[in-house]
Amino acid sequence: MSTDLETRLRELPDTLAGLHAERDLAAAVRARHRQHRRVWVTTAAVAVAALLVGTVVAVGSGRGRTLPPAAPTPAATASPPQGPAPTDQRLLHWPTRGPLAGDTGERAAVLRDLETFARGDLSTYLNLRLRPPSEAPTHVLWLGPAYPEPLPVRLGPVAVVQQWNGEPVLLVLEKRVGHYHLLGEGLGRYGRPATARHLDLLWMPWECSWPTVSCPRRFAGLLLAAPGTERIQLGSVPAEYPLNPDKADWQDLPTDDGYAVLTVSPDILKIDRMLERIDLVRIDGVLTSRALWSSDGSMKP
Amino acid sequence: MDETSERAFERFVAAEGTSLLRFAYLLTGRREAAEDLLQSALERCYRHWRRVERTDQPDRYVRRVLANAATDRWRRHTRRPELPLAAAGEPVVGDATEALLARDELLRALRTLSARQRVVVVLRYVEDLSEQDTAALLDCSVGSVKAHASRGLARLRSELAEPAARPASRGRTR
Repeated sequence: MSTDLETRLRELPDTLAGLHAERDLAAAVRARHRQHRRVWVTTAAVAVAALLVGTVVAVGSGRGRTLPPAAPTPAATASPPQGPAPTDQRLLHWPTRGPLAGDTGERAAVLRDLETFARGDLSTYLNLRLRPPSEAPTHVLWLGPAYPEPLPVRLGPVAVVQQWNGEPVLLVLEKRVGHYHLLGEGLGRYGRPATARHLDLLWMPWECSWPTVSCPRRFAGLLLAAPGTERIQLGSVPAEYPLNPDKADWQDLPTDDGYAVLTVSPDILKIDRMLERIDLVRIDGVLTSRALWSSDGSMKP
Repeated sequence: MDETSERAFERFVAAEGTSLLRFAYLLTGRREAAEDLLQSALERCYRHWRRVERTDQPDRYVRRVLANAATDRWRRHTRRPELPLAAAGEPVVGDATEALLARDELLRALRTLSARQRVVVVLRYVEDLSEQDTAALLDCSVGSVKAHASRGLARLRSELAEPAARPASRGRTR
């Protein structure tokens, strides 16, 4: 019986001779990719814009209103390095920020768990086999509460933001009982010209990037500037000077050791109104505008 | 993606598209679901095509992505019954010979398997991979492959022997 069944199974492909892939399958895949990228970029841009407006720029009630003087910045990851510099060579850069950065036991546990993690479940999300930290130097940016006060949502007790050296992959892990859980991964370089490397990564939960999957009401966006970036500014211009940088009021965002990392958990229902109030983004002297988040996903310096 | 990789991707899709579509069809049991699954898997690979190209066997890699995507899809739809093949009414080839009826019976039986069992059975017996190759492709142990294959075949035998005895199991993806 088994042999007969196996024979029938082996003959199955012959009975599917009438099934052919469409001729323009590659084009269809590319179109699908562009569509997903648009959704991803647009949604991520909305999240980050909401973050920036809602938490950093104390914008008034309407366009054209002059921004107030520098407002207190969110706690985010702007805390100074803590604890001794890591001696583990897999942690390439100092600092490993966050209140738990000085906890050698926690750091060792993170590296151990990351290594296990990289060899395990990640492939089910990315369908990629990332190299474990022992092979790919890792920059652990943050070791501590994922979304520290005063941000309203604390998603997990510990998060690690991990940037794989040389790879445009960002992982945000949440430590649950005994292991890390992947909250999201970002591939922030879609369509970006090689010269526009100022904005390094843009992250939001993966499930928010696909329209067919429900996005949690509370989510986090995360923005990193490339190492060496000295300044990120947001600008708001009067309505009569649309997108004119000379007329803008600029608000610095904090960077820390070359990185600007901000998290937010906005009310998605308010995003549209918030987005209206951001006009310009200036990164390290390079001006971008809201058109930066264009529908084709490109980032135009 | 640069032009070289674009061309390489196009060549790969032209060469392997039909084979992959048939694989996806066996995993899903429906043509439109198979096409959607295949496009989704290829799109995932397209994003990282340069990395995919660097693997020894890109076709195996894409099959792995397909298998994972099929499993993910099965998880998402676990609570939503799907039409059995017969009700979907989509003959792959035009005529309705006895051989085709037998094929459809087998395909319907395949759909009663769990996603993992189906993937393993298809890889082992339809794609004719060895246990070791199947385990490598699915990133699991040989023992796991053996177990899924054994249970899958047993289930298929049961379904094919007693098709009318399990009306509740028909049309439900597990």
